[in-house]
Amino acid sequence: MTSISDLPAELKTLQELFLANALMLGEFPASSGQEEDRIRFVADRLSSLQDVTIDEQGNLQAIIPGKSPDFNVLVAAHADTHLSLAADQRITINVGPDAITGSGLADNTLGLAALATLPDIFKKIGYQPEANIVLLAHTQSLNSHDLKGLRFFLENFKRPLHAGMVVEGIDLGRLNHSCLGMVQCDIICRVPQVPGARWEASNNAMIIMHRLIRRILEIPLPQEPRTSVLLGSLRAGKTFNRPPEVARLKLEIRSEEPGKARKIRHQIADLCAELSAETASTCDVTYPALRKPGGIPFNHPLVSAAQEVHKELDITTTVGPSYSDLSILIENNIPAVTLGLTNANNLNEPNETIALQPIFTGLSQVVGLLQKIDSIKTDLIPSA
Amino acid sequence: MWLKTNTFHHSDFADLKALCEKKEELGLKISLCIPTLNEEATIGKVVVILKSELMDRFPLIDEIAVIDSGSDDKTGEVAQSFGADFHFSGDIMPTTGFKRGKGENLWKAIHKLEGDIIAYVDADIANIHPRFVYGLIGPLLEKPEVSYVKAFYERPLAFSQGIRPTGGGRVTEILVRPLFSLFYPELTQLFQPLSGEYAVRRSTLEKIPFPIGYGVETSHILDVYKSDGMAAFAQVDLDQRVHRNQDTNALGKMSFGILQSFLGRLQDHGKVTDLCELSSIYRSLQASGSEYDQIEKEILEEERPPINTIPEYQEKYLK
Repeated sequence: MTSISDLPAELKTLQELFLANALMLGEFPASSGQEEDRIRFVADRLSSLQDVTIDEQGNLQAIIPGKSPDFNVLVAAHADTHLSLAADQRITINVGPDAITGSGLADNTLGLAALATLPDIFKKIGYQPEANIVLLAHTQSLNSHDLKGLRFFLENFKRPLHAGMVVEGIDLGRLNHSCLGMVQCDIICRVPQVPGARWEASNNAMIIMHRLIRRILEIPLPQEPRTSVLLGSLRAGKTFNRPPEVARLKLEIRSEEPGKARKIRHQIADLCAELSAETASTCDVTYPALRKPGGIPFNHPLVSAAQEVHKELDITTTVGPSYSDLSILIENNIPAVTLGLTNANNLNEPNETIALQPIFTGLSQVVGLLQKIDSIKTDLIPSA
Repeated sequence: MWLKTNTFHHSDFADLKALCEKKEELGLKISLCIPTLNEEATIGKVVVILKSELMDRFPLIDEIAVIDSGSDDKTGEVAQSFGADFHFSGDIMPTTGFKRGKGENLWKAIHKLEGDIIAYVDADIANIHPRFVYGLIGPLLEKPEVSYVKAFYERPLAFSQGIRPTGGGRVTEILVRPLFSLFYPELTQLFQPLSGEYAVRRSTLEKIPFPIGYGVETSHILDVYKSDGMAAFAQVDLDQRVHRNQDTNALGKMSFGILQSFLGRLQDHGKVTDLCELSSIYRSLQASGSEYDQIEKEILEEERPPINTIPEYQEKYLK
């Protein structure tokens, strides 16, 4: 079996195979809930494996059998992208000697392509894992879908999962082992418009939303434990001379401190109620996604193993919290980490550009960590 | 009726394992030729997808070669970095000289590539997929009487704003279909006689002449029809093909080249007599403010002879 440090050169020989998967997957539009084409493609690629199934949420799962029947490790990549295309638009991905270009590659076409290529990689390097590798391409992960596919899978998967790895397109070197508490707030402000009424600030949803933003920014946030409010999207109005009746703000609260995000969420709800009363408008807030903070410790054997792999591959490790897929695994008491495959520029633009060469190091780290997991089996299954 | 029996959908041939078994059973070698001129933006993707799927994953194709007209961009470097053979067409059968044109590349490919079947795929297909090749090869493996398989598509045109869902094939509908209707009604059963993707048996390719420019597809169809009849053709629906749009002026030049080849064939086939000498100058007009100009461009549809008349070819394949 190939040593970890020799893996990048070995995997480079599978370049066309991986790129073909990425190119073809990347051109299927896959907004959350519309991942069917991608899932079918990956199912076709994994068709030689055990228990290839697509569940009722559209998740695809398949198992690469290991030598230890009772040892199971999850490798997961979300199948949806942030792109929403008009009916007459399409995604075009192109590839040159140094880079791949096209929207959605980083999040998460490349992660999905890695999943689809993993059986070929194992075959190429002659690796049969100790653990059963449960491959999962999960659906409906983004925004208000709130990781619906992954939640469903974890609720219904019958075998115990002893470790998990979330594979994302970017960034190479990331090592997430903890999760921030997170609350997404979707605030809609509506003002009643009376035809012919005199123009006033209170008739303008944009101005009311502006006031709300100012007050949200006045909420004191501790630097430690790290806490932040990220204003993500603000939309209002259609033209130059008509005060908007509706304004919509999307924001995300993140905190390492248990209960802090929930507390800020209540403060924002109070501000909405207060402004509604002051301006005779209606400011409604809903919470599309809520996550608890948590994680595995920095000295957990899985985190240590990932660091060792990075060291052997000469990857600079960046440790930081995650607030997506990983948090659901942690909530379900599965020790897990998130890894990134490569680096990108112009994220979410049509000319999103992904560096090609680091991908083979990125893929090597995934395989390398699975090999290391074999060697820490007794840490992950204390009774083994 | 030909339209019913010889029109297929690419999904009819999607079982690649079965297709490879059939190829094996027939003992055939299959080559893929990608003619290029400055295609660095898209050639990588075409090579990666077709090589990975149709050589590495399923051994349907035995060789992939890019035959280039002298690109001054990185077409060659990109193609080779993903494992395709790359040849400047001027280096193939050098004693025959070099002419710049797609038809020249297709003709030279018959000497360079060794397949019993050669599939031709353009490098500018934005939505390249293995079906563009296996769809064309399928009928040749399944139907021994078929020797020339044309692609047809629903043709959206890519614009910066997105895709126009219908359109394209304007030269076919405005020029070629009316001409076929007048002179070769049977050939109107071909959806897209000008499509740049086709797969052909060597035995057919080697006996037909090759215009080096716009007329190559039209003259192929007329020549194969004349020698082998409609039964030699099949056509395959490859669904959508997304490609760069051409402006009306470019289509005018294309039509001019096609007409030259077509009229030449009409005379050869005895369909018209006493055709006057044709001009090779295409004349278009340009207005800029109160300035009015006529632009003249020579478009000469030179032809390469059937390759089986060339000594280097005879030496390699016909001994």
